[in-house]
Amino acid sequence: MTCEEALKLLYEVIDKEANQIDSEKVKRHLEDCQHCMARYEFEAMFKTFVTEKGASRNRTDLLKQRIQDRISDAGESGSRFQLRSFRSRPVIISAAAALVLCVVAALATAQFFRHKSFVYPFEKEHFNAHPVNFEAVNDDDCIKEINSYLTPHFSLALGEKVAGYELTHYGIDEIRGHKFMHLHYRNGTSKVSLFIGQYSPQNLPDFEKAIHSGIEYFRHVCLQCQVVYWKQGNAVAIAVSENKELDLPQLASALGAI
Amino acid sequence: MSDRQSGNDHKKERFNKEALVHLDSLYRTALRMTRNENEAEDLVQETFLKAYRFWDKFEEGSNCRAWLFKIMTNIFINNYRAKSRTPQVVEFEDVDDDFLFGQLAALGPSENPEQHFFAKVFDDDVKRAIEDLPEDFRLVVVLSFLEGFSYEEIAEIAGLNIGTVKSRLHRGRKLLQKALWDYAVKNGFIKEPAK
Repeated sequence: MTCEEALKLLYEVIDKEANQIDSEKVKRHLEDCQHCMARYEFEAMFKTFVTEKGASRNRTDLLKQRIQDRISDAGESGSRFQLRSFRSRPVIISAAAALVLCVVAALATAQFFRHKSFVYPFEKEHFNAHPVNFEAVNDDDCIKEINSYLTPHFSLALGEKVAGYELTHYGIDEIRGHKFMHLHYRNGTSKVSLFIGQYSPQNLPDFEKAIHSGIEYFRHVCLQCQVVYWKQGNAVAIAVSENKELDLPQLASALGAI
Repeated sequence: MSDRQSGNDHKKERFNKEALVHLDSLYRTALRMTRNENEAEDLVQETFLKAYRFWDKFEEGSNCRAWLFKIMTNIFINNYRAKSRTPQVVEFEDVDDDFLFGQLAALGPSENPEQHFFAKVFDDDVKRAIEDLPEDFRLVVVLSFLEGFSYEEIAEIAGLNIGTVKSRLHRGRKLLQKALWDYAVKNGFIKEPAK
């Protein structure tokens, strides 16, 4: 197989649509041709990348309720409306091609997610970790840095409960290019996230912008959420919860953030 | 009367179990297609109400998710496309097949430019790039990339032949890569090499 032939099948192989014979031929070609291999790896990475980043997580529970209500009201009716039925297509994928793709996908995934932080419940744009220096940071350094943001009362012990809320995760993210630490708490199904950043002489004017865009963002994407924020010395904290009943300022204070 | 009642309950139960479970997936696509939360909700609601009305036409054991997407695509094309402000006929500048790959490779072999690029581009940029694709390309890209449908399923859902699905997907990929490269350059994540 020539490079030209291999590249002609590029997307079909990546999309797992190529037949077994073609996939085999491509696989053999890729073993010998670094250039084509690089291109295949890149396109597979690109697909994973778009699939991961292009999908939103949305709140659809209200919509679901509305549809169910409407269905309960709906009368029965028949009509001429016809659709050709779909039958699940038997999936024939060559094991070899699948293996190549698994390796490629694993590589791609490892590269994408090594840095991906846990950002529940806001797996959204601003907080999709573009982390600062996680690569060099081990847990101890991370804790040291985080501690420098906090009041002395603040506890960073994972699993420790304050006012019924347990710290489940912490880390450092960037919001609009500014370093924030985030802490995630959980009490049963009720969840609270704290984001804490520091003013510094270097970041002065646009740090405000980062905070406000963060707050705006939460209010915008999460209509059911409550958002509170406050300043303390040179630190600013934003607390967000999906639980509207919760006394968020009081909890934040109990957690030691104020 | 009670028979009819229990028949209805049974229908609702089956519909809940087999159709409504695909709500998130349909909404995700509706959002990319309408680019507007309210319209996306309306579109999804209309799709499910229609699906419920014709539930007895749906063959048990066949692919319910694809069936729902076909209904939604038809509603979208008939009712929403007309409202769209973007023109349907778009002239494209020609983009090479390996445009992004080539651009990144040109940045230099030593520093893993692909990884840098993929790490820097924001979710927002990806969503916007998808939403900015002309509708014909957007539909096949969303159905393939985000929803994982096969070429054959996409052909069935969108009422196209497989060759058209392939060529639109190919073109959609290139446009997406070009758009993301442009964002990365514009946002300063990547310095475009001097020509």
